[in-house]
Amino acid sequence: MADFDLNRADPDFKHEVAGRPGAEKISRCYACGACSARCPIGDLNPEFDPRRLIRLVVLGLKEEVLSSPLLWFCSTCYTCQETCPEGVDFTEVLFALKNMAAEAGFFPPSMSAQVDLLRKHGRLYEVTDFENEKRRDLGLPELTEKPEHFQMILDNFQLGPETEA
Amino acid sequence: MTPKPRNIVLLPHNFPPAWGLAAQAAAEQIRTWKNVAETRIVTRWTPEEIGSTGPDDRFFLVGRAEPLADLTGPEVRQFPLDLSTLMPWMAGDPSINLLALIKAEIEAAELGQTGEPVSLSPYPQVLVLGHGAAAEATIARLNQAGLEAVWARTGHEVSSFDSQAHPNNEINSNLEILPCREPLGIQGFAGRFTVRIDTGDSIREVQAGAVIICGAEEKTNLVPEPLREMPVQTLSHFEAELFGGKPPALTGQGDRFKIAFVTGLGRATSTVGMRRILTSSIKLAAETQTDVYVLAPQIKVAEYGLERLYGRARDSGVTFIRLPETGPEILSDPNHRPGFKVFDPLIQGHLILCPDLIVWDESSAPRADLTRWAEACDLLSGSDRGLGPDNVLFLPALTNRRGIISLGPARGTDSGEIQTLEIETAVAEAQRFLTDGMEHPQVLWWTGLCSRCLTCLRVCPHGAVTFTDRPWFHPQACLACGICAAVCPGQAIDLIDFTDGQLKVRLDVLMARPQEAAPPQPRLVVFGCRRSAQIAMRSAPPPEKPVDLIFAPLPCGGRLDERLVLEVLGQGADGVMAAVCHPDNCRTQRGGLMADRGVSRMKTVIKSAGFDPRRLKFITLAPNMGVEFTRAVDAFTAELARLDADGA
Repeated sequence: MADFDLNRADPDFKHEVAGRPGAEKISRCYACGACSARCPIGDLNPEFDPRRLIRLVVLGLKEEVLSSPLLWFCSTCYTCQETCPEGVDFTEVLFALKNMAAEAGFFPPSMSAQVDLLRKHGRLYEVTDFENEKRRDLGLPELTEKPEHFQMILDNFQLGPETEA
Repeated sequence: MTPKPRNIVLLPHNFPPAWGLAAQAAAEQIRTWKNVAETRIVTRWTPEEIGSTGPDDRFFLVGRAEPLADLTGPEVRQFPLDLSTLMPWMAGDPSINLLALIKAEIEAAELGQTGEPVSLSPYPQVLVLGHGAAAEATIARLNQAGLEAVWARTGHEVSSFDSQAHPNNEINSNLEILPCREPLGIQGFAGRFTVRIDTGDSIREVQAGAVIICGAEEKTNLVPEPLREMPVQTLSHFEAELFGGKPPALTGQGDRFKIAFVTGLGRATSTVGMRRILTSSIKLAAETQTDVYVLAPQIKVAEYGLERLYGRARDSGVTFIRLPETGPEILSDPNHRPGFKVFDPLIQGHLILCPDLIVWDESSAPRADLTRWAEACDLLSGSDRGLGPDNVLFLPALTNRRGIISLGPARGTDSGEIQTLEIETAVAEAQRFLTDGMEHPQVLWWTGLCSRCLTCLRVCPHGAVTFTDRPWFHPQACLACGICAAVCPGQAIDLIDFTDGQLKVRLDVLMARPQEAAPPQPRLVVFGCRRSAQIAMRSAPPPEKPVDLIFAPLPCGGRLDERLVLEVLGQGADGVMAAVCHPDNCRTQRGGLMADRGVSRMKTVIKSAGFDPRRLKFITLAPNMGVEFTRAVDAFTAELARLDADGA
């Protein structure tokens, strides 16, 4: 069981999070647990608990939150957001936390892999003859990869390695 | 001689499938019973649908939880037959269960008796005991409600009600003020109390219809032992500096000053303390560069505006840490600043906090005078040593004695701040006992069986029993918990509608229900409080293993009769379970506790009668705990199966 020293915590972290778009209402949380009870990810992995993440933020345990791989488990189903009786938009809070984590350099390898795929193919999988044959059978138009736009966006946001010229 | 009442069974036309029988078929079967005069099928519960009523009719309303308002009259007796204990998953043919339940209620009603109602003729005035802002606000509120007040004043300072202070105050002429050092006792019952007070030079008796104990303000500046080695200040002292224009010096060792407000070590947080802490912490967080922490066993928001203040505190960045009931662990390593270590269940880890300043809410320190008052007035006190049990149902102002109400400092807060909600509740509650009328007894007493052992007098938690040459049971104070009836060694006391005979006949009918399942399922008898377990059953999912469950409703856990436990075991029950309310959630305060003790005692008794004590189980439930009910039944049937396998 870990000890958390509040004298080393960052008391401004919660204000920093609340300053991000969508995360403003984080202070409304009083840990009722309605989100935790309905979270489908929590069913699969009890470690993932929305109100636990909020508690860590409120306590100012910045490092623990941003370095946590749990941030990236969310499937963005918005159940927590729909459930919250206090209107804490937790999915939005999580976006803010993921952005802050990425800025602080905590970017999980699986995410990098996804960014690489986007950069390479303009989508999250490679389009091959297999997909296009299937599409022809269904009477759908052929797909071509157009990664240029994504490369531009990713470059602008400095996500992943620069596109090789 | 009065004619024998006619039993009429009213059946709803739309029987749910779970009952296993169409209304018509049920009516036909019930018609063959000797003690039923008539069965009627109703489509709507209206007087027109129900048809004629006679003066000696007893109506059994199958499937209804409440009596019908339209049918009320002195001559119409209604027996609503709430069938919530009839679960679709119960063993055997559901129609047999249904008919057994109806039959049990009719036979129990046949044995029903009532006592003579008591005339109340209450005293018109309300006695207010104590002094300070809470007492004065209570008197003002009583005046506003048009009620007559007598003030037994424990303090000496000048108040707004003193005629010298306000010679033109009209209220003063009607208010009788008595000096009071301490209350010495409260005799009587709601509506007619006699309060003995020590005036300092004599003892006086005051009559009152209700008593509101406001207590006495007493400033304690005591810092509890564990905090003395730390940088600590009392809340009053801190407030005086913070709001008095002389800002406290907030420079500490770290880069940011950390303040921890601490309340409720060994005593519940009060709403008054909570308001003071929230107000100070909001001001600090908004106006200074400090990190503010609030360490409290509970966040109390049950007063006007507190929830909003709590929200504002969170918005301004105040961090709340919940203390365990035992208080925080104190870190007193000489190489380290003193601090707190508290387990946080949410993040499953310990929080360590070494604040630069601790502000101690001294109003949450225990007080000796309230303990003396509680003893003198036969009042139960809670863990906060205020007058009133640790029970959510007795909040905000009720005590274990009807008509005696406690608030303000008497409830456990030293502050003079007025708690509006408590005062409103107290005045409304007092008013209930000041109107004349009749009160119907809840208890019957049989002279020939009584040995005058006084057990009833000693066990009654509500002060409802007195003794002359015989015990008297006073409906003005009785909460119908049935503890006296359950513990009476001579079986001389009966609780109306739950007499020994009625409980037995209900069980006999249900136990006689044939067991047809093959292989036979374990027969489990659940004695359950109708306020918790019976309601929990409505939402109970089916158990894992089928079980032949018989549910015997009790008015309260206190009525759990040890003799009935033996009886059902003798009649072939495989296990007996008592399911009552949680200890701090019992409507009668002591009922669940008595059931718990009864079960422990019975374990020894059934062992000597040749049964394994593990065949007896005690659980507590809230009304919304259907899932937990089934879980407990599953665990118990599994245990019974193990016992059977071991031949125990």
